[in-house]
Amino acid sequence: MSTGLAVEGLTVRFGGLTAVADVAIEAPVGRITGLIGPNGAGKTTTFNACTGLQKPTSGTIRFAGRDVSNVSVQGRSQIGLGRTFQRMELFESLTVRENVSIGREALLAGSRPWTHIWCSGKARAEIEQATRDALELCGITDLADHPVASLSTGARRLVELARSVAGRSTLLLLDEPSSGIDHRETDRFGDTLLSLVAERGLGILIVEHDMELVMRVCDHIYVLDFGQMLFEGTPDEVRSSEIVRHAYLGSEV
Amino acid sequence: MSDILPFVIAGLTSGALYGLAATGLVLTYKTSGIFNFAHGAVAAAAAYLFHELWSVRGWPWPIAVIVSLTATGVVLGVVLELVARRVSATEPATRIVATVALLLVIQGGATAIYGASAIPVQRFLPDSTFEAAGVIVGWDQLITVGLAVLLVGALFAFFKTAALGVEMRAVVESPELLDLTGSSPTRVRRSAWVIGCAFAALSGILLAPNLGLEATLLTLLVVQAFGAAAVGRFQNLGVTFIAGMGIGIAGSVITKFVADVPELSGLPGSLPFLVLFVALLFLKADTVGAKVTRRRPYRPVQLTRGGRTASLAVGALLVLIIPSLVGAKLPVYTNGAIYVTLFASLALLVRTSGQVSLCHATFAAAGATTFSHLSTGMGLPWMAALILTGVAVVPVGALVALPAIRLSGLYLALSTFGFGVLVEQVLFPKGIMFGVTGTRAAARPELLGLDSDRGFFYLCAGIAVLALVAVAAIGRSRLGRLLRGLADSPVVLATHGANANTTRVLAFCASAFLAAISGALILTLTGTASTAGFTIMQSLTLLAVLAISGRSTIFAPVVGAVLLVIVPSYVSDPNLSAYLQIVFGLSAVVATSFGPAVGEWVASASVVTLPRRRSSPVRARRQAVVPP
Repeated sequence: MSTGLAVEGLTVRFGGLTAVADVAIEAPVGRITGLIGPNGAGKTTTFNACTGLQKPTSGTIRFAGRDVSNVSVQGRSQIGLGRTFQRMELFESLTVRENVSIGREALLAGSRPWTHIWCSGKARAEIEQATRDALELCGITDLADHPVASLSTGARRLVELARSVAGRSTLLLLDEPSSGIDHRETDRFGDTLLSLVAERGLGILIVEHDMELVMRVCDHIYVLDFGQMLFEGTPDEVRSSEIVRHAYLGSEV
Repeated sequence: MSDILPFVIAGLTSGALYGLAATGLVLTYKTSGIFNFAHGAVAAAAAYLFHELWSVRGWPWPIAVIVSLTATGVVLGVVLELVARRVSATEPATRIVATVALLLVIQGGATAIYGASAIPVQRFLPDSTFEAAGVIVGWDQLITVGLAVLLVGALFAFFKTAALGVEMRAVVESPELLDLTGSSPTRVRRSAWVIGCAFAALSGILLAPNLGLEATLLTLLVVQAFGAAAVGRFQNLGVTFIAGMGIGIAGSVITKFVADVPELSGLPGSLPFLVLFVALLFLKADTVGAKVTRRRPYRPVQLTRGGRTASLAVGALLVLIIPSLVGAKLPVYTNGAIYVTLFASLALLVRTSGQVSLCHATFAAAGATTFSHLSTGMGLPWMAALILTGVAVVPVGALVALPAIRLSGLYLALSTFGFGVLVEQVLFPKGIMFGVTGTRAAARPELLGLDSDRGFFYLCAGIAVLALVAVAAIGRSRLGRLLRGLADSPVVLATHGANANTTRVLAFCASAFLAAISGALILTLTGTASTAGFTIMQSLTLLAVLAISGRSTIFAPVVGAVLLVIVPSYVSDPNLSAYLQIVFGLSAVVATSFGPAVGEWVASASVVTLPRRRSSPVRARRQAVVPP
């Protein structure tokens, strides 16, 4: 696969503990890929390794057709890999609009001191356009001028998503985007994800505990357990799999 | 070889004490996650208490040692644990300010009671000597080294076997889990703080006869421990102790060799800091992302257009009428205006970008001396010299930030601290800075009457206003958004494609520029300036004052200048500077550890720092979005 993310043989050890063992994942652009599993299965560690926050013990990470294993966090972002955080990392002292615009602004600023200071008129227009589009796509245009500290959890999740969307990412890694938000909001969130793929042609790799959401939006699902790849397949296959039911889903799904 | 050995032995003795102190420092840092900048001050406090009990009150020395050791260890250990616990969930800058402020309190207290000049302390350990392998060794040296090795060894054994020791290791790994097993993390941490402080205390008491009692010297000397702790990666007790010994020996041996080279006279004293820099360069970056600290959300004051105009107008009016109101005190207000610029440069760094500089007075010193060279030395026009000064100090800012830029937070603060002490000890006496006389001269500008008191006040006030406007403009620019993003979460900034290192270095460059300008103005205000206004203690005081001046980058510099310069000028007391240090330090400890409650109260009590109320989010939206 030339576009999207391809992880091969990923192993991450913390001292004696193996958090992720020989995991392979493909998350192509243009579809939603799910990554599920019980707490502590190594999902967030896998994300951290993909984005460069965690140095893997072994394994390669390819993105957009090139080996990015030794590319910095910021470098991977520059070539289109975006992510959100499980614990919702918003810039608390900024407004919603400023938070979202940083998604594009940070990308344009890059590493050069000059671009950190100077912002051309063209770039400003680009940032404004990207911010407006992202706010609209995520349905939070009416909240744009509020400080993020005053928002509810659901709205904060959307701000974080919008911030990633405002960049030029071709693939978004979303870490438990629906945790802490209620049912109705989750429905809307799912719609937003689907429209991101349909309208923008993005790829999404999503870690999620809300099975209803996962089953609804994902085209392909990976199941992790104790750092091992337990199962992969379509939502229907996952639902009917005996091992997945036993290890994770329990009997109610 | 034989002529080096005595230096090795002397170095081993002081090295064992640095190692002991450093081990205590690492122990407390490991268990609490709070780096104790006041560790040296704890040593100083113990040394003074010992002096009081033994020299002044005539207690037998063994009892005096035990009492001062226990009292300092327990009292300061408990206080530090409390402060550490209170600030543990705050942003890195607050965690640093808390213990820095405590350092100011202890150091100021010692100076207020015992004076700033050194008090000689007699040797209390037996001073007879014996000869081993052709070298004369003092019994006191043997006892010191033996005691240090014994204590660190005991700590090691304690860590491995005793229940409390095992719990201390557990509290490092997972305080929550320890809590679940029925052991209180607080109790375990408190024990670690008491042991750590006792180690510092013992090293202070044993160092006192060699160094004499001088608050600043002792406070900064156990800072030698920083270098050792950095070699031990702030984790490994054994490596830390051995590194402390190594630094002691190397320092002592170098003393012998530099005796003939006056240019290098500062080298032995600065060796630990060189070690610190090098160790920081090789220190592995933390696994970021794993620990993202929560920052108390704050909203920078964003004035409305009307508010901006109003505060500009009030400011301009004040600037205009002050010369007529204050009479002969005008130079004090000029000094205040200069400090507004200095505080603005610090606020840009601390408030906007969430980074800490513990060497801001050093930047100002670099500005003052560079200006003197450019204007008095090279005869450049006044204004050109001033701007060139700012530009010339920018690389200094970048240089300081570089060793720890990958690591940020605490390590960056340590790097600036090391740099400040290094410059003060090595470069201040050199011709490039203050020279052997310790003073520098430069004249005021000779045009448009700006050299009169009134004219110079207007000039400094104008520059202060420009500095505030510049800081506000930066805050609203792309750089400002990136800086605030950096303060909130550097990791997220990187995941969105910006290089946080570039952002950090730029913040330091801009800050150094403004600090250098203010340093040059401080010099020209009186025509001469001595090293006194640019010490590392001054840097720490600046930070503590900023911490109690409110959270706005625009008003805090003004409040800070009023607190530090204007108010004290109306009090006359020979011990004023020591008292001020205590007051500022205590207020900052309270503000950092016992705010947000107190901090908010202070903020709301001073009208100028009150944030503009924003309209609350749309009600309809609130109903649609269920709160968490």
